[in-house]
Amino acid sequence: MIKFQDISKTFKLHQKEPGLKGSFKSLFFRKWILKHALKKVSAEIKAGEIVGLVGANGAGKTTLVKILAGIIHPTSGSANILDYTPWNRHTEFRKQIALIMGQKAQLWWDLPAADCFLLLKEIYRIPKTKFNNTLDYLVSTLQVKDQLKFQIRRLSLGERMKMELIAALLHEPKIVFLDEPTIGLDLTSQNAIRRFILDYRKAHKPAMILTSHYMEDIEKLCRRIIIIRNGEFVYDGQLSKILSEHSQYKILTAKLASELPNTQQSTKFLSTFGEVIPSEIHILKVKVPRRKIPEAASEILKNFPVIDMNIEEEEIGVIIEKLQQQGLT
Amino acid sequence: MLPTKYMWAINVFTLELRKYFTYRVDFWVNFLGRLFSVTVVSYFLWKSIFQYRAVTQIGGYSFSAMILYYLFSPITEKVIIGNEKDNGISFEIYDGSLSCYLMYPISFFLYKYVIKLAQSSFMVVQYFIALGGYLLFFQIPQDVSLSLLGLIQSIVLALIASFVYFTLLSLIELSAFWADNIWSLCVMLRFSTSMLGGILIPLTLFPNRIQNIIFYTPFPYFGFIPIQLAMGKLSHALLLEGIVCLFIWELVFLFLFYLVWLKGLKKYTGVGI
Repeated sequence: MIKFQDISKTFKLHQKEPGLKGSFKSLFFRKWILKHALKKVSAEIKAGEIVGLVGANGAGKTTLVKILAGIIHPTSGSANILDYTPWNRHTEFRKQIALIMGQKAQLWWDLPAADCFLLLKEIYRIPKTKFNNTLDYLVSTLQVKDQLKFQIRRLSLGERMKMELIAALLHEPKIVFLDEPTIGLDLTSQNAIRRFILDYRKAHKPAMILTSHYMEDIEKLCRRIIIIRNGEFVYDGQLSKILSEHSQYKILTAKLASELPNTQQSTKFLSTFGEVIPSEIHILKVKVPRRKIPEAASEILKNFPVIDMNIEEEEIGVIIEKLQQQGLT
Repeated sequence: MLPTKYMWAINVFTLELRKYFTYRVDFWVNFLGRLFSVTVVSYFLWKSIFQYRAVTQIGGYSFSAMILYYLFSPITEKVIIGNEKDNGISFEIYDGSLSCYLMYPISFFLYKYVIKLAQSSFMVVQYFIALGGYLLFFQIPQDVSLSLLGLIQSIVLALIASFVYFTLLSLIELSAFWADNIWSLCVMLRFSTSMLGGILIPLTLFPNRIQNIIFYTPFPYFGFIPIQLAMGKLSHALLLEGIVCLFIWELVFLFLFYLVWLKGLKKYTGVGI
């Protein structure tokens, strides 16, 4: 459904020295620098897949989304989405895609949502019955029926985001790009939008690319993630595999029947297995290298009055952050 | 009847028109402010000129006809050029809003033009209110022949000219793909249109040699010629010649617009999203 190969994008930016002198100088001379936003990235995404595109600010996520949505041209490389080259912007291609940007309003600010949807009905040439059915479904699922007649600019951020989602999905696109769809929303709205995206995927099987800084979005919505760092893909695979392949530690937690007998001595003993994480007085928490887990568990059971023990994977967000910063090691 | 694929245009047109009629205060302030400032200033200015030179006609206009010209001038300008300093295309390129429009399966140029057409149509309402007000209090000058047919022809020509002006302005605004701020170019176009389009002064006041050159440009159609037509001072042959000339200019501007648009899209970075 989505296939792109060796996509590169280089921006030419001009650098201006600070101050009045710099501004005056830039009237006559400009220093240009080349910024390589994407460096030969390739991937393939199938129908029904939600792929999380993860990376730090400026890593190249949005640039890639803009290229795949046909908004900007790449410097080199090729892409095939639904048998179209996105940046040729064929009308039939545009009818089958949607881009939702959490940071940018796309609906007409002065119009009530209902009017915006009617306009989109004509733009996408959606038959009346289909439009009514889809709108009913989307409006009831996202619970925004009462807000339909208010101007977009008068809605809260969460309500506006829900309207943006409805607007983007009215024509039932086969490709959906979600750029930070839950940014700035409260927990209830975040959950509602996540649930809705999963329902939509189940019903329509679109290929989706999601970029988000909220690890919860990624964990709850995506089985596959692509980690992008300085314009290059440093990981492309199953989210679950990241743990086994890149998690070097596990968190061992033990609940004790009584307080630690000698705190200083116990901490010294525990630190022979790994990094001791400060916790409550009845709880031991140690970040232990994976290979040392059996030994550490057995020693702790032997030396402390343990009533419960738990061994957890390192937080996925921490691993992804590490990969974003350092790349594959 | 419009084909189904253009039904959205009617929707955009009516939505835009509704928006204009919603802002009642803006309607009257904008309309009366511009009209009075131009007409009243022109009245005193031309009164002095006519008295000083002690003539009955200047550039083929009697004093009353000259004042009527300055009534037509701001209202025709509004139909053709509009209120805005630009079409917003340059700003949409600058702040990245263009990205949203690039996603829709419609022509961005056509979308923006429908908005402009709604604005021009709204200005036609102001055109008739101003003219009605004039006819209520003043007599039609002897050297002017006002007729309903002439007025309708003038408005139709003004609407055609507004399309040509829109294309020219859009073409200039596309330079925002290369330069961040192109406001000065829009101001230059507006100033040239006022000067060479007969909005500031009737073109018959220019020396003949200059007039001959100006009439090869599209500018006279952005003011002077539709006004002449409304005042019954333009023959049908000249009207036909005008429409052909506008058509040729439109083809040139459209060709250049698409050329620059395609080049510009390759430069577009969609900053701001």
